[in-house]
Amino acid sequence: MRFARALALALLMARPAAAQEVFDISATETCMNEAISFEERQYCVGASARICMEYLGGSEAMARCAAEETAWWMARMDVTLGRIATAENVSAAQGEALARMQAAWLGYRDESCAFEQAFGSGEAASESECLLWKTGDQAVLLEDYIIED
Amino acid sequence: MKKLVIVIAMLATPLAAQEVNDAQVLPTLRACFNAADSVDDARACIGIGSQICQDQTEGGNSAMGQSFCQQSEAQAWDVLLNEAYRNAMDFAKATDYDDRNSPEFARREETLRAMQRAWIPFRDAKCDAEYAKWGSGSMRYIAASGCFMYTNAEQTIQLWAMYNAFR
Repeated sequence: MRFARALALALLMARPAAAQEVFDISATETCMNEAISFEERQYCVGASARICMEYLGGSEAMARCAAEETAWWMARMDVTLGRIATAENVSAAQGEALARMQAAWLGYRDESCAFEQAFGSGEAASESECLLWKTGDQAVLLEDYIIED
Repeated sequence: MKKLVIVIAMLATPLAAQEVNDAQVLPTLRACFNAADSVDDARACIGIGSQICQDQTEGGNSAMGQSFCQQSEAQAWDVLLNEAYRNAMDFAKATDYDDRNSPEFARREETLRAMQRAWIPFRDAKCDAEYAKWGSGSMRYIAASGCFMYTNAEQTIQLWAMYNAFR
């Protein structure tokens, strides 16, 4: 019994590193802090996921690396929307129009990535990567609403 | 969408502009798009129809003229978008039929339709937000018509590129 438990523990410890352990957002974050134009900010999307993917390899791990960075962009986008909503130079009508756009965007993003996967290779990683690119692009686009270059 | 109707109504001045639009904008755009070999080539066509329209319409270079001409090109892209969608749909149905014994892969028709249905409200909301961004400033007409022109164009090019890559 004790042996079985020790074996289980050994197996548990020997499992390959999971994406959430390897994933580090600093590459994307540093890139965003240093970028000085819209194009440079667009180029930051995927920076951290790429490092995580290179480290882990394999299509399942790639999907998880992409999902980790997507979650970060989603949270960042919420912060941006909050800043836009309370900005002095943004009217209530403008805030509402942006909120409607954001809701419509989310629906489009999901359908569009399902479509790309259905037409493409059908690999698990491709839909996750599509979600990452589209989410990052939208987050950068929204930030441009309040950032002046 | 309602705002767009207002924009069109305001621009429906008797400029003979509609004739320029019908005779020139769509054929010019179609010729450019048909000759495109790559996404970059196709993107270079964006604005070509509205430029012809501006050059050949009285008052075409005014803010009103520019907005009208971008709107014309948005409509022309809409025609090309419908064609690209039909091509993609024919391909989707045919390949789904080939995969009829593996339903987990035969999802092209369904996902294409769902994607395009979700895109329309996204485009409208996005261009509404572009319009609202300018408040009561006169830029709002050009911003909205430009948004429709670019967004229709990008969607056309995306569908076209997808179809070319997989057919």
